[in-house]
Amino acid sequence: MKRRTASCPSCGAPVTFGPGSVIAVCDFCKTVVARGDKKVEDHGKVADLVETSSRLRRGMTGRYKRRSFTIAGRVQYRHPAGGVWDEWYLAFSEGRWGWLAEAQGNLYLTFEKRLRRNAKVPDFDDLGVGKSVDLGGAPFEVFERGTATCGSAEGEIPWDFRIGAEHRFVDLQDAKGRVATLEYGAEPQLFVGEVVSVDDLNLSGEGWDFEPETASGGGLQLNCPNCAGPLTLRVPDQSLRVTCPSCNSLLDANSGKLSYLKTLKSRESFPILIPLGKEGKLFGEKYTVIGYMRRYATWMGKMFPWNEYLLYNPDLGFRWLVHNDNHWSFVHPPKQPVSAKWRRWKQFTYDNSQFRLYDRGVAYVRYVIGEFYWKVEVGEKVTTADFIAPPRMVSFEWSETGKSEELNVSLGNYVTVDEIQQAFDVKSIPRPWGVGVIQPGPWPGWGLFLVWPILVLFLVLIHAAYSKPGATGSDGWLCFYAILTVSSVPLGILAYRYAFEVNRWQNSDFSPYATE
Amino acid sequence: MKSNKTWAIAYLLFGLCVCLGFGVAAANGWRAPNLGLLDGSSGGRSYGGSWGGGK
Repeated sequence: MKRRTASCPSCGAPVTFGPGSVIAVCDFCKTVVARGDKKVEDHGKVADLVETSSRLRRGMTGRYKRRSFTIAGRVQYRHPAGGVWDEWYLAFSEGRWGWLAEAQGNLYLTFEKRLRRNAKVPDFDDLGVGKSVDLGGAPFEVFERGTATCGSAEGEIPWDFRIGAEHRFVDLQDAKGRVATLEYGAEPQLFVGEVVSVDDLNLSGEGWDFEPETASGGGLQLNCPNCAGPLTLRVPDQSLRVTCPSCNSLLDANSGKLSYLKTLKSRESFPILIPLGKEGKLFGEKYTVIGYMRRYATWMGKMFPWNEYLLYNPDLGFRWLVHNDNHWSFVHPPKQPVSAKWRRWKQFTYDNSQFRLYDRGVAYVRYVIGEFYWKVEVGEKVTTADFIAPPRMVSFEWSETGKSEELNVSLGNYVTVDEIQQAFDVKSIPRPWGVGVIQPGPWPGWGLFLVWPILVLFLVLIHAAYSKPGATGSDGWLCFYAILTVSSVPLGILAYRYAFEVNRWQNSDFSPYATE
Repeated sequence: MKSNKTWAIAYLLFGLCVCLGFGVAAANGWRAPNLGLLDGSSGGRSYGGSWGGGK
């Protein structure tokens, strides 16, 4: 198929269809123009695209696995849980199309894979989170199932885009980290690919070299619709909820337009240790604190609260700092794939470490302030399971919102108070008292435990040498006390480690040290 | 890790001091003070006391 130019049926401006493109959105009047056999059709006008902080632009060129492409178009979908995500269409030189989904700072590049004629694709309703699907080859597991709505679009689109059409989709992942999407239209379609970074795409073209603004860089200045107090939206394109710092109202943020939802409980009792808007550098990357959330879980009638700080980096997306019992952890998406079969597990291996189940339960949101990328509500609950291999924790959070069911997997790394203070230039962060869930245990290294038997052997040899007939005669008790003295250090360390681990697991139902 | 090495070296030095002390004691035939750890361990009824009717 060659490039074809037609006139927009609405305004007469030229619209171009490249090889394989089915739809072209008129740049002048935003009409969705469909390529027909003989003439073009008018499918209505799209609304303006929601301005996202994406660094991708239509017209950019790049190379992926030595094949060059051009970003020919995009569709903006509305997620059932709120918010939008971009799906960019990469027109490859050999006529193939790539689907590049961009959500929360992550990029997923997939290509259509034709389903075999006799392939049995499970029904949409049968594919719950955690279910395995055989897509020919390695089994994939369901991580999300939902129905998205087509919002706006631009450029060329390789499928029959319809404004407001609903798309039922199932997102999957396999053990090698490959991602797949099953789209349930008139016929199910399969797309298979992988998570990519902007570096993998070797992008170039107008607009590529610009430095993305950090979230603290000004932001969008608005007034609260409830009290008219000033507030700043630091990530206006992605924030769906924001709270007013003056009157504590929870506001709906729709592409920077605010509307009042309700007034939240006073935050007086919730100390926010890192101020919102504060910029810091953690693990070599710059982040801005844009939101604070107080969450809790209950266990044996007791409430266990903790704090979460939402961090934002325009290139990486969102990260979390979790503050629990004055212990801190940095939470991010895991680099290696984790299976979605978490409900059955007591332990599993990830990245050469054995992760043990620490707790299962339900986590509730108690208080929020700042900006959030989903429609957060006080009282919102998710089913959770935490697996630990100190200093790391893998957390599973399963949630169901309207038409969507989703499993979020995250990896937390222990961070010391000093690292937090240094990263965000804040002082007076309280020091932890007691053992943190993923606090690294005290360990002096194997060297000390290698020295121990050598010293004991040395003492025994001295004793033997002086116990020979004709020698002065070494006292056995003295030798015993000497061995006891050199053993006191390693034995003391082992005892301390044991007590440390018992303390770590004291609030867990799955403690390996439980006596009952 | 450097700190692990420091721990091992510090412990080695401590252990060598203990060995040296013990070596000097053994060479001179010094005896350990009786801390009473085993005193009474062979007692039982024959040891006396009020248990077992010993008066």
